[in-house]
Amino acid sequence: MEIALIGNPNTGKTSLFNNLTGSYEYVGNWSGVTVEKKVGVFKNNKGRLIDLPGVYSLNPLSKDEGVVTSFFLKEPVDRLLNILDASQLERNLHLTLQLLEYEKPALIGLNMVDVATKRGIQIDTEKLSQILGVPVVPVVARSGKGCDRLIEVISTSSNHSKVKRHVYYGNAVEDAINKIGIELIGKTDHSPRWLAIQLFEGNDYVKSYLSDLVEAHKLETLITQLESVVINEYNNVKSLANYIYVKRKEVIEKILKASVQKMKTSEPLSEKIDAIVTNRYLGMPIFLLCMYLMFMLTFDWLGTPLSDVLDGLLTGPVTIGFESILNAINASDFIHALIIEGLIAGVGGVLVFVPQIFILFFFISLLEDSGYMARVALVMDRIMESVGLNGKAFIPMMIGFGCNVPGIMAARTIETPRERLMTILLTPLMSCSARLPVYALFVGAFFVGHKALVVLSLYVLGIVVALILAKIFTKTLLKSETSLFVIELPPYRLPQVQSLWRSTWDKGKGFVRKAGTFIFAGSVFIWLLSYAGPNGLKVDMDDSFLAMIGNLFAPLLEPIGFGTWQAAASLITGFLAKEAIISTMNIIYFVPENASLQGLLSDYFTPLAAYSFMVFILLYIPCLATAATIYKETGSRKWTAFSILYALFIAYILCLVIYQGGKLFGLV
Amino acid sequence: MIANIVIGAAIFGYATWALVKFVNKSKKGKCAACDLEKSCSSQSQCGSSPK
Repeated sequence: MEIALIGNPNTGKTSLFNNLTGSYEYVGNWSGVTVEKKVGVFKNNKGRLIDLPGVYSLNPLSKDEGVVTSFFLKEPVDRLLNILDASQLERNLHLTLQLLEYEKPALIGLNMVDVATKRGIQIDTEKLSQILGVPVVPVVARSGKGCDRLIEVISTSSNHSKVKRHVYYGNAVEDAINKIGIELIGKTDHSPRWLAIQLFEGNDYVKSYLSDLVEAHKLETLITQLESVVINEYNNVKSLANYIYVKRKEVIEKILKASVQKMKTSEPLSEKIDAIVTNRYLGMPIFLLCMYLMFMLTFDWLGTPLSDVLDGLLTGPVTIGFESILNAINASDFIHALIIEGLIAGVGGVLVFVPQIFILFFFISLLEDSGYMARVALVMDRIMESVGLNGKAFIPMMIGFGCNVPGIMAARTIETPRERLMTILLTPLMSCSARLPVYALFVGAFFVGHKALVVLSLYVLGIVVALILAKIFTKTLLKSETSLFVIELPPYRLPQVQSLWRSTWDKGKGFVRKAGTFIFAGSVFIWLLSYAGPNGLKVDMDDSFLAMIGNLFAPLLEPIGFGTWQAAASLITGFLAKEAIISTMNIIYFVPENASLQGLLSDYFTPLAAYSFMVFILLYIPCLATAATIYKETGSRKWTAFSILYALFIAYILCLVIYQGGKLFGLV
Repeated sequence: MIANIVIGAAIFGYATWALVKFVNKSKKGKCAACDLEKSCSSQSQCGSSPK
């Protein structure tokens, strides 16, 4: 049995999905977490549950919403599980009415009953169920309350709506529905009424489906005639779609009147907090302060001490342990150097930063889960609008702070193709977690007193550069109208330890896994290139193949402050994955015990050059996985090449300004 | 001597395999290249736009 889970964005579908299937999916407290459908098996094995992206209507506006409509048209579905946010019933019911018109057995899960009660909203579920003609089960998806009953009801009763027609659309429309119904006899398994109403609403997916079954001009004539009739009849109606919306709204108002009681409550705490954190003047400083605190914890208070302990462990007992094993088996110089100077330096150099990465991810998860990130998007909307984007584009960018790849995927939630493309192009400028170890290394060496502030400046720089480029792109390459930004502010909630840990672990484990696979492999080959040269093995590193490769590019990097072959070589490996930069540096600047890489770096970089290097790492190129994702999402080689080249160009120019400008002002 | 050859072969063999796998996966882009891929059972619905 195939059961589709469907509802408005951020109504808790994914939480419910996890509870019903016992599997774990990524849950975020903002709209658009699910951009593709997910499938899971019910805990009692009674069927498969399909989690669809959240939509407000079956008439799609954006690409991810199209997933839902084409699912309804093309895939077999036995039952619908419609999840409603009890505190936002009025808006949620628009989708419910469309689902009931689809005429498949349905069940309603009334979620967030606890939030609704707090807001003084009392819902008579019996009455609601009676009016809609389908069972209504109250649930709290986050805690799993009511989920057992939901599984029981959906897998046992058939749940065909007992009410035949929920909305009466007036004589003209009903006649037209009947006409289409006659045309469709024997041609489709879908409800003709649903198809007709969706067609009248301007649903392109349904239109394209129907054009295979009914002559297109017949449909066109019918729609045109019907539209002129309803516009003539009703003064305040602008289009046929608008008319259908108004009719549904009338019915929803009646349903609410009969089944919902509102009591007066004091202003909810959520709104009091919102008044401060989304305030026109305070919003941005509060966001920056949050980020600053996050970096203080990551780099100063908690992260660095933990990293130091790990570093001590790796350079001390672990290295000594390996040394003694290697000595015991009489390992050759080659194997000895490969393991100690290649693997332990390269992989260990990256693993050292695991605590910091996890702390950062923990705080990003905390901000997401608590509902604050959605407020940040709202705060950013004012700024984003002035550059031709809107707050919605900031969500993919924030996801990009973790890893650019899911960030770019999340751009699918953006309606207009132009804004989607622009978001895809700009998301790689967000500082992903793989760049963090580079910052950690350099701020530790050069900016000890201001670690958090320097890292914050890099994150902000990424955002500012993205905004400036957005402005330039809208004026030149990508001119067109802007779309409107509507974001639902989810209720604040105290994040649950379990979901917070899962979310942190999910984001962070990729980093650990990469250390064992790609970084391991990269370290082996980088070390080999640094160990071998034209004159054979065990050459001086300056005469190695790696130095030769690095020297090809080093002169180009001279004007921006780090014209050494070492810097050039690590930047090249960074294209494969940004973490590789740090392992390459650890191998190249391999230091014997008791000396630290951070100390050694000051021989090669000045603080100004170090800052310039960090800015270059921030901007210079999307990694291979990101570039491939850009190609897949845009379907264009041209835009992929553009995303790589403009980033290189911007990075170079900006570093030139920072380094040369800094020197002019007497900085070193 | 044998130990050296075995260790060297194992390390270089694994490294080559891991590198090839990583580059192939990254080149695929989208879900395959995503760090969250393991915990996400999305089924791709791409290319289902209307004609």
